[in-house]
Amino acid sequence: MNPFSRSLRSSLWILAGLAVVLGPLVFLYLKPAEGFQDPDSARIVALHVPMAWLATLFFICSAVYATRYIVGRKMDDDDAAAAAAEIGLLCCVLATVTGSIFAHSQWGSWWNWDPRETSIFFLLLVYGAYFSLRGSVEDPVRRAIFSGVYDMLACPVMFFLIFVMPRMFQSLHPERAHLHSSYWLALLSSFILLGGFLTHIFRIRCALGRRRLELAEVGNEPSDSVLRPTMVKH
Amino acid sequence: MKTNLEAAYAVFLRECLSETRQWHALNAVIMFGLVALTSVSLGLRGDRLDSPAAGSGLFWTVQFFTAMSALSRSFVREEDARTATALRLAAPPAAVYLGKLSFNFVLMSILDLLLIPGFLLLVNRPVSSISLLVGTAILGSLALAAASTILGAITSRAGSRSALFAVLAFPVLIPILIPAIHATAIAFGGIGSAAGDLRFIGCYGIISIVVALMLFPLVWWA
Repeated sequence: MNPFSRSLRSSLWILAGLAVVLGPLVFLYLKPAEGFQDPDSARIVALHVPMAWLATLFFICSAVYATRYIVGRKMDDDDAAAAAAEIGLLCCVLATVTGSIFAHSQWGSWWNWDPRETSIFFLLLVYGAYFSLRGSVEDPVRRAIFSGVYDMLACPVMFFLIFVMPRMFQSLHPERAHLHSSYWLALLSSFILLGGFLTHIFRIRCALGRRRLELAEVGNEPSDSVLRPTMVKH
Repeated sequence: MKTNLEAAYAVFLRECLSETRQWHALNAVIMFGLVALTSVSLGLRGDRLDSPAAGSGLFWTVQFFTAMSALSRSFVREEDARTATALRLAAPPAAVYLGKLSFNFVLMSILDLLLIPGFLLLVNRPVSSISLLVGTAILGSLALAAASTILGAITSRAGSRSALFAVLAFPVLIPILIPAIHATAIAFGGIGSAAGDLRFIGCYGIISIVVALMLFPLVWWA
């Protein structure tokens, strides 16, 4: 089962190529931002903000695949959920690191538990816990069910952390940033380019996972090797 | 055939009975709470705690760690005693979840009633509204139990389960802890209103119960 059609695949290749070429250009040609403590380093928002958006999107994607697994019980979907969470975690780490560098240059400290810093840190914890859970269950089917259920439980928490909590407390992050239009262009283009690039990586990772599952079947390792209770009707 | 609620009540009674047969286990949880409380109190060395926010932060630290030691036990006990299969046959999953949840809630409330006087005695922090403090603690306990009972079922069948339980539970319990700490700070003399916080904890607790009721059969039959 391939969720990506041929035309989408080729457009992803083009986006990935553009990301490699245009990404550095964004940083070279973007003007220093006005109204910032350190206008030169404000260029980092072109990477920081899209990373935070992409982290959220990949986590939602992971929860959707987890739900698909729970409903359809196809191991491919479980693998895709893990793949999306891996890429989401990568984006989350990059958003945290770039955010910390930006905070140091603008507010003078690497970390000060601003509501958005808090929410991204807890998001890291959520997915750190997700991978610890996957690591500690050996049986593949049980691992898929447990981590799928945890993913579905964690999704509402993510909505709370990203969308509710930063609005409950005073934040140093701007609610509606007054950025020059060139910045919005840079943000959006870098979001689309990086998004395309990472979706491409996600696709490759899913294909790899499928091959691995096929190999496991050929290697005569039935994933259902443990004794499992059968559901009874009460 | 019994209805779900009757079966849930039976599971709850069974939990209480097996708890009274193993006093040492309950003792260990109470001792754990006492140890957490003592370490906080030792750190302060009788200094008056001026900030309400610091007081409520310490209170919920003690509360959280006690909850972690108390809430993971109910399913671990089933696995250790090899009674899980019998329970699967005897009661529908929703009844098992509701029975265990009510037991965990009652257990946490008892621990609250021991921890709050202990905290007030050992930590020198005047309280402006004792009813708000107790109310937040009890409502928080219900929400903590609601969100973590299903995690107990997951971790009871995974490796390194006691460490894993705290790792899995902490991120899921954050949306309860943040408003609970804020409301408790108001009970300790902070400024503001706790109504929004309590409403939020209540809503999160209800959502957790509904989601867990939907997902629990999957975990239970995995």
